[in-house]
Amino acid sequence: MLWLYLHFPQLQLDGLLAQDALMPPTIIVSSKKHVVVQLNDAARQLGINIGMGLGTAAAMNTSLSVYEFKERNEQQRIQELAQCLYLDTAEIHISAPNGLLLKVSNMLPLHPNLAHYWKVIQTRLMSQQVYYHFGLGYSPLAAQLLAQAAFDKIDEDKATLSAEVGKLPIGSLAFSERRKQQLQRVGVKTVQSLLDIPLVELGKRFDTELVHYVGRLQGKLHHPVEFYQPPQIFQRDITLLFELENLSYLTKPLYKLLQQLEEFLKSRDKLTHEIALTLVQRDTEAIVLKVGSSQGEYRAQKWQDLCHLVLERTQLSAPLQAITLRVDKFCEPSNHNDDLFSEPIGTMSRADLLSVLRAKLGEGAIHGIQTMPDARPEYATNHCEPRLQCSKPSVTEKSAPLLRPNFLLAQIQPLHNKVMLLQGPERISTGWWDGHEIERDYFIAQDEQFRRLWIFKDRQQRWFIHGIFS
Amino acid sequence: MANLIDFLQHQNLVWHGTDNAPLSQRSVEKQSTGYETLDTCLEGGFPIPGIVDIQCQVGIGEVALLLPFIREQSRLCVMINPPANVNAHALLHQNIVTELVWVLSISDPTEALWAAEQCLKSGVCSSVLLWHQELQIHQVKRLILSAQTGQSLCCLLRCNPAQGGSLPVSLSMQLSPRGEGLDIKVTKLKGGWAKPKITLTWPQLWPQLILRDESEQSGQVLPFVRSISR
Repeated sequence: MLWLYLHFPQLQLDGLLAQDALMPPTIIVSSKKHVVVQLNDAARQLGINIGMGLGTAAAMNTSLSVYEFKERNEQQRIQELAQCLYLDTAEIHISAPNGLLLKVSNMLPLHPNLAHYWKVIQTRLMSQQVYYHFGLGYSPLAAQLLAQAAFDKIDEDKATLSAEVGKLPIGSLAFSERRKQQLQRVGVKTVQSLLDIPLVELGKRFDTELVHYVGRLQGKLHHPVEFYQPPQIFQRDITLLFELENLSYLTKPLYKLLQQLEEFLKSRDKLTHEIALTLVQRDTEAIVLKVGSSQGEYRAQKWQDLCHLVLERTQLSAPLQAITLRVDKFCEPSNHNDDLFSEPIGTMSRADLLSVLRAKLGEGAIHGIQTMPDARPEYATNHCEPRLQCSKPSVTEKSAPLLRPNFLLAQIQPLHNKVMLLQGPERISTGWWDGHEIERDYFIAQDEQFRRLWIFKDRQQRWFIHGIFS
Repeated sequence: MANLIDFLQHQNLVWHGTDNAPLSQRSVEKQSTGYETLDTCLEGGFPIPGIVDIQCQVGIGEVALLLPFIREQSRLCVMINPPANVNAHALLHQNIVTELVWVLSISDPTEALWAAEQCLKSGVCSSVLLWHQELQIHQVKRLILSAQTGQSLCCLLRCNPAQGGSLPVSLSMQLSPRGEGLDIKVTKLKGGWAKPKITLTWPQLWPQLILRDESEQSGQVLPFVRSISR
């Protein structure tokens, strides 16, 4: 069983580098011990090393940018990488906190040789802009040890690989300090010398834990691996290099996220109706923006345009520190049954127009109308979702058309003016079942300005205006 | 003299004849309004693409005047900021497919214009009915361009004819109500001559809305006494 282990020593830093390759000396410091855990080349040239205290590092240079190490950030990133590599490898194990274990042997039948497979993986990693070490091995542990020791060679020869593992010092194994000392005291300096001791002998002198470890390293004992399952949601974060106060500067980082979304959706042949943008502000609650596309969309450019409209009407209350893009509902691309013969004008569809209007004006500004089977005029028209497809003009049963005004007043108004009745009465007496009972005699009237009004007289003989014949 | 003409042209106060207008401006398609008398008056109907300026007060049948045109369209009709709730039943009974009607209510006048522009140029709308009171020349020009892109008709419904008639619209009409119908005065028609005032009678405009007979007009209406409000 051949395994490939990828070791990512500076995931958080890579995230920052991806935004700006020419970074000033930057270090990432663990929040507990205040020591440097990751640093870029510029910082390395200043003489800073991993494990150096924050104070010492800061004394090297005054213009050092310091970030706090965020474990969650790394965990998330490793998930993303797994998701990305999942496109080429079926069996991936996430080896916490910053490694990926790929089962190579099952994938090799799909490739001419190992080199070709590695090339595919390499290209995929290139697009992710991460720094990594890798190692191959015939047991997961062996691959991991080589990768962490920056072996970085592709060679599937069993003997060479085991020799390479053997050369590693005992210190590189994941043992406690006490155990390492124990081994060194009995003259075990390299992995090879540990492997030379038969397992039975090891069991006599040391505890079973060590026996298990060595057994797993040699591939004799089972190494438990849990294979990765890609999630059914898309979520990406970007921590901005600078705090933003003007939302128009968000365009570029946002576009990167949207491109990742495009990749994600394209590889699954899915669309989405809505994306959620979370804007993390300094010392204030985050703003969650929903951007919708009525017909479903995957293209980054289209989403960018819609986001732009939404961001235009968004007000920040504090400087912006990070953004998150999240999509948790997907839809299948629908097959358009467009008319082949009628020539379309422009490139937009109704759904596009609706998305653009909604993005700029908000959800509530636009609605369609539909008739309801209710005799009470105020309930007879309902606001509804604007129709994207129009059913064929339905052949309504030929009832005598009723005479109704084009506009109904939002509020019934008392009639103040002198009017002349033209038609009526039409009595509407209904609604006893739900508490909105009406009994009205409707008339069409004409006022002194010759406006045609729809007025009614209620049971108490009071007159009201209800509609206008516009 | 030439100076004066230049000056007036600059102010958009000179109307060019169509004979030497650029070809693109001459080829305006006319679509029937649905009323024979109005069609003759407008030399064929509403100009498509185009901007129609309608000046009138609310409630005299101005929407009814546009309905026969809307009925013939298979694309959307967008109503932006109508003065009251659109009654789906009324449209249904006048054979309008209500699914083709979108209603937009936008409080900000600039955003309303933006929305009109988007709808006009999208190509999925045949007409946009825009209730808007204050329009500037440059705004109307932008609407024209959008209408040309989307091959659509924009109807401006305004009730303050006080504003100068110099907006660069394709057609401008003043509607005034009368007992028996609607007086239409065409104040501007691109590429057309001055027209006498015409009248659409109620039976033409709204066939069902006819006085049945004189005796029915004798209803007693006791209006509310207008309360003196401060």
